[in-house]
Amino acid sequence: MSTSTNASPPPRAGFWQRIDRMEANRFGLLLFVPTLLLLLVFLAVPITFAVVASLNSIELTISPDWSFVGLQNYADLLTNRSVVEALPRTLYFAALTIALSVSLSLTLALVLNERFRGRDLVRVLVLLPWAVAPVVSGVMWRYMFHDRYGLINALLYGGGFITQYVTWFSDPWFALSIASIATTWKSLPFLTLTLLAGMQGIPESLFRAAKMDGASIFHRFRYVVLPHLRSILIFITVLQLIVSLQAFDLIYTLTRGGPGQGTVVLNYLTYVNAFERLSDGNASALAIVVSLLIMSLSALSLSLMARQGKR
Amino acid sequence: MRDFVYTWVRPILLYALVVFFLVWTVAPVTWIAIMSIQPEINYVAVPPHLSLEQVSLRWYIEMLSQPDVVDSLKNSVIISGVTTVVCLTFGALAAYPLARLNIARKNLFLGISVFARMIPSMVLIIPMFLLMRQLRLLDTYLALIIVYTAFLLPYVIWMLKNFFEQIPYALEAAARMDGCSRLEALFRVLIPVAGPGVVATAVFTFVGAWNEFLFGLILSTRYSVPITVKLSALVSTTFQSDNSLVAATGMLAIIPVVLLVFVLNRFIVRGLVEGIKY
Repeated sequence: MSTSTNASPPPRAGFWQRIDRMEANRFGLLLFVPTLLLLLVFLAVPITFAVVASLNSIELTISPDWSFVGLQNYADLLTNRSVVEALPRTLYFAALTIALSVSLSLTLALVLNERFRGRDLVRVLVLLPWAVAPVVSGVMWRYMFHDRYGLINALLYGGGFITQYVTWFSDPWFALSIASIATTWKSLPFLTLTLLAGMQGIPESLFRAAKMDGASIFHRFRYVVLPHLRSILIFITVLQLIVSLQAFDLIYTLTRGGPGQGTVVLNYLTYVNAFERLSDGNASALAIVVSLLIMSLSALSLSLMARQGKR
Repeated sequence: MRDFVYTWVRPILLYALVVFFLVWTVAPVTWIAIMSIQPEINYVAVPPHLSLEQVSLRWYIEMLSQPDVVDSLKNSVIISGVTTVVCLTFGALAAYPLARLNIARKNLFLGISVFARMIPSMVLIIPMFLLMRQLRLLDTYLALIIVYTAFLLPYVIWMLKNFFEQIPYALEAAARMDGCSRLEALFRVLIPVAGPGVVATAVFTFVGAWNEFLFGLILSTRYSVPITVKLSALVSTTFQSDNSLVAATGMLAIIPVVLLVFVLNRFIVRGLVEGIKY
């Protein structure tokens, strides 16, 4: 492998050689520079800005003036009616999403871990929702539960369970539940893969030993599989809590926050406050509270994964 | 009793679950696929009567003859493609020292990229809008490419670092003995050997950029509108018109990535699992 540096004109060769002879520390730093600059300008600066904005009263569309109000925006959140109303919705949405996605992904992972004909094909097919954009998934589930041409209504009607098409989205709790189902649908492939990877890490000898001891299929699940997956299951739970706190795209095309404000969860409310009510200081305060929640949860989930990795 | 469970209960339960998960996975996609090739009158009927004779691609043709739909597909391809290339280049450069060199401050760099992964996009949307306005980049490809790169790069660095770490150091040492510089060792040895992992990372990045919505919604108005934003605009404006058109557009928005994922599925499964490992 003759080097291209030899072929280059001398000044350039000198430059590349100097880089190559650089001490490891400085070389590593040099390679990190493009990333560091990008993250600094397009993540660190905006975050600082958001923090500062949250301490000011701003309505950019009305006037460019900022007036420093300290923690007033944060204090206002506690009494703000739309925030107080969004809290139970967010909790319900998160709880249902976690319950559905943890139970379904565990079941699917157990199924895919068994040997059966056509397993390889099934494993590929169930990846599908991972590739589908959340906005498209919102559109799909809107059509699944649509009151006039939803597949769910058609099936229930065809099976004789209902005599009239149901207007699912007119009830806020139904609408939130559908948002949960759609969110679960979208995240299931990733969760299942994570669990499957964990299951494949269980030593075969443990199963054989359990089988020889006469443990039934349920006992093997309870005493061999489950303890092994504990930290992954907690990781998945935290992950879905984060996903629920970040819900926006999918709800935007599923319900647009409706009926009324019925599916406006916390993160959606930030968007509404910033771009529909145009209260930027207020929106920033809410965004930062939600972000702090999400970031502390992320830190928790990362430390869980790190512990899993070391085992 | 146990024989009964093994010969009857287990297979029946297993296949019932397999069927349930297959239906659950494909039903929503199948339903909009059906809607996209049938006249609305067929599925609005109670109960719906779908007909094979009336299958038609005219809704696809109608959408694909609208310049703004074609443009938004083109925009998504360009934005996601460039984001992927930039992310992989920056990511490979940053992942290499993290995986290979025993440098001081390594933990600081790792910490930076972990921290960057945790930032939710909603908190950045107002500042990013103002920043891009200041830079006169609103409604350009560049704005979305920059934002997507900033968000996806930390993931890319982690995935590539994990893949690079699996390559035996001896391979690289041999290349260095043959006179390769460190950068040449990276581009001629590490990246080709980590090939499947690099492909997985590229698909992950492309799909992530293609499926993004919030920044596309806020940072583009006319010229750089991605397909996800175009679709959401159609959803809210077509309450009165043909839903087959919306369904066809939804299909157009997922077909490229779904094909990509199915063709490259072996890489992706490994990539997703590696991407979250610490």
